[in-house]
Amino acid sequence: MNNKPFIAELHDIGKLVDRQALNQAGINIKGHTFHKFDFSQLGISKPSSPSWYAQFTDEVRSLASTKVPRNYLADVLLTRIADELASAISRTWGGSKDFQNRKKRGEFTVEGIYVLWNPNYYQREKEKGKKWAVFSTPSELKDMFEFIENCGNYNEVFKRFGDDLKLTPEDKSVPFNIVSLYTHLELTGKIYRILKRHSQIIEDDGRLYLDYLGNKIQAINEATGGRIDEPTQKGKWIYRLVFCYINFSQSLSRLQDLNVFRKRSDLIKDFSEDVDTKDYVLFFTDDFMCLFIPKDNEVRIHELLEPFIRAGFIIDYKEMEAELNLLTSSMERAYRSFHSLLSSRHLKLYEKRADMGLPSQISPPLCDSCQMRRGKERIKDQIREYLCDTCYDIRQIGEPAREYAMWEEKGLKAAWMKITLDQEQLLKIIHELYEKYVDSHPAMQNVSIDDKTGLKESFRPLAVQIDFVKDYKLLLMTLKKKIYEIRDNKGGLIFTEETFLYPIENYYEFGIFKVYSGKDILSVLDLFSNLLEEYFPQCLENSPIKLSLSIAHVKYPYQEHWRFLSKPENIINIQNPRSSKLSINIIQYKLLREKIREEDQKLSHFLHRLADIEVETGSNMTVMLEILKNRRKFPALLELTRSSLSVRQILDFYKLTREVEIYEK
Amino acid sequence: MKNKTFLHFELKTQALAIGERIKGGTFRPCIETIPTSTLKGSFRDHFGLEDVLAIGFLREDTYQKDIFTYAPFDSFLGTAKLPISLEYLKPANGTKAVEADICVVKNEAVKLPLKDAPTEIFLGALKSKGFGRCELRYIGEIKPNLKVGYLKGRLFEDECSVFGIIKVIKPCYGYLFHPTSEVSGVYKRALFEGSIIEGPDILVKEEYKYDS
Repeated sequence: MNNKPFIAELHDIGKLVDRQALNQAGINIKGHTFHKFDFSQLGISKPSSPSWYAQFTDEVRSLASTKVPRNYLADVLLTRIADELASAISRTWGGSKDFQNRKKRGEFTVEGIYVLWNPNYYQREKEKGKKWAVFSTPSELKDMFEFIENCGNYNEVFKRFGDDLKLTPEDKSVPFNIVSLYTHLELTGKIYRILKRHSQIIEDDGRLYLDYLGNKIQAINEATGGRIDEPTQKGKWIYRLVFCYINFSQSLSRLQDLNVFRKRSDLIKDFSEDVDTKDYVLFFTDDFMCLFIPKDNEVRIHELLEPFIRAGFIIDYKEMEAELNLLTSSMERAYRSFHSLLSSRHLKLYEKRADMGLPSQISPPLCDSCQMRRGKERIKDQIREYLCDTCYDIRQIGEPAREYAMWEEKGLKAAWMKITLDQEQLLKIIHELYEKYVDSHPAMQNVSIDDKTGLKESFRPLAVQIDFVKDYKLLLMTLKKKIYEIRDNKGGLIFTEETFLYPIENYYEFGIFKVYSGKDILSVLDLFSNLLEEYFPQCLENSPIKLSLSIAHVKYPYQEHWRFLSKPENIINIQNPRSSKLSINIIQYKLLREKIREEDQKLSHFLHRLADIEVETGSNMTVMLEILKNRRKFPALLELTRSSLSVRQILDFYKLTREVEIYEK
Repeated sequence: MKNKTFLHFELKTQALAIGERIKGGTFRPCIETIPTSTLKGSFRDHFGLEDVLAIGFLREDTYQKDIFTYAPFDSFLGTAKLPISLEYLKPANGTKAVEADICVVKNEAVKLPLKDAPTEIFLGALKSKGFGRCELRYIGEIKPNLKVGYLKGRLFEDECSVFGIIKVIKPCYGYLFHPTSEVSGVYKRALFEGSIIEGPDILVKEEYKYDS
């Protein structure tokens, strides 16, 4: 036995082993765990580190087990609980014997991960020469056991096998192969460490127990409870899954107010990296965190999130408090299912807010920015404002987008760009895509309707959600990189770091750029739609990722830009205040791009005429009649209206992107 | 608790600017609801009624935002101040007026003049420039049912019980101005849109279906 720590992440390292290749090389391997492996085949002895016992995760159901030394039983049991919570399809889903047997025989086994929103991902990566399997030869297998023996920290697992873990599914069978092993292990590790931190091993009458808030358990089911449709199988351990939306009350009236984004990003980063809090954070974006935490009497959310609250942020959170087996990120669905059954078990769902305690009354002046605290007089550039200390401190952080204030070319317009990930819509889309996968994959054609229904109901989207968010962050980073690579017809760069600003360091959802002509807008939209097609090809009609552009002169009130940017209606949203507003999906965008070509002079004139008619008559019907009258001349317009695009959308698209180049760069 | 009775009015206007604080010294945004504090002042000015409690909700699709720029005059210095861009609501394209529903809590203080319809009242900012001139028309009494859901207006926290709110599940606080004399006042804590309450369904935008 060595003195290395127990690393829960290593429980599934065997999933990186290419069993087929090793069997062909004469090494007999069954399953993905190695607790029964005959080490004489490799001429080595079995590892002796604590992490070795993670191989027994599937074998240990109780602290009375004799398969693992007593001092590691709790770790193995907690890993098992965490593994269940981190799986995409509940391991207790209870499909038919027929399905289980067929799955064991490998009838549903396929190679590589199936990414719900990007089905060809694995194939493309494979073509690039990447592979899922790390251990394909006897010598590589020896390396794996050596790693189990010597690994000193869970980060080493991700550092060494990261790329392979991303291509390997947590389960290789359809339709379970939808989560990367990387995310599954990350999630298992975090949940294991939280469960461990908040429970104690106790010995009573020679028996081992794990105690969490006075609830002693010996077997897994005692802690987790049964499936949602087992109304009497209560679990004793109640935890919380919390979706935190980190909002602010500041209005963006000066450029320095943009520092609020930097403040928020910094706080989220610190919180998700701090040794005391990082494991509570299952995933995060720039305005959102998903937390896994114990009950309120063990960890108070106001205390946990105190750094955010102290900085003036408002946290609107959705909290699911439930027995472990009932805990899922599809909170509303689970709540509805749970309440359709007469259950005596514990599942609660709340919407709450955590903010700084606000006094019942404030003597004037009120802070002009947040309107939540008393303001003090501050005079800058001969303008008197009343700001509270919190809002003033935020302004003092720095001078973001300083260049923007210098954009003084006469008549110049600027576009404020915001990319948003809608977490609620994301959950709905993940469910839809998963259900479509269950129904349509060829391997599922001979599966009974009952089994398919069971598979759908047992879906836990949390890990899939995390994989999605990782791809979203990748899209943001790629967009930022490629913005500066877009070239015009003459081969010149369209944007430079002076004309396309990312005002907040490391915050890639938000940018501001100069708009000299409609071409600039189109080049940003083209890049976004191409990247969405590359990373999320299944989300072109219905996507939780949205891009908004608000185009106006440089002095246009910032908070009015922000008001539009923060409420996207469709995948692409553009407004030119008091002129045009457009919300369309990517399919519609591509169609408009294809049909309304700038070089088509006649069409351009006709659209101008339609725009004039619309302004003069204020009637869509008159415009529609004009299109019908000219259908032979301009069949494209009729085609567009037949593709669920309204005349108003066509005109707005034209108006927003038609602008001729009037400024020399 | 006995259900509250409200007097329902319809309000129509051509331009309405119920403002927030001026931002950056140059821009004054407007809100898209009619808080109790705004109506209280208006009813006091027009009808001499001190204790009228009313709340208003703008009808969706009847309004759009626009910006009006003007330079306020500093009477002390005798000069114009920096121009201010004031955001206001005007009728949406294809509509004739900005419309709102006003719900007045029926109590002893509400006397007949309020029901003499149609009546003209003024609401919000820049009345001298023609903003906030509203036509108020009495529709009838309503006795709403109780509902748990998201609040769609703004009211002082201490007005909750008078409006028939029996429970605040999730408060979303903000502040509304409360005059204490003709020249002074304080900002009092108020429930803003998005708060989750159990109260009359006329105050609720969407049902809340979870635990409290």
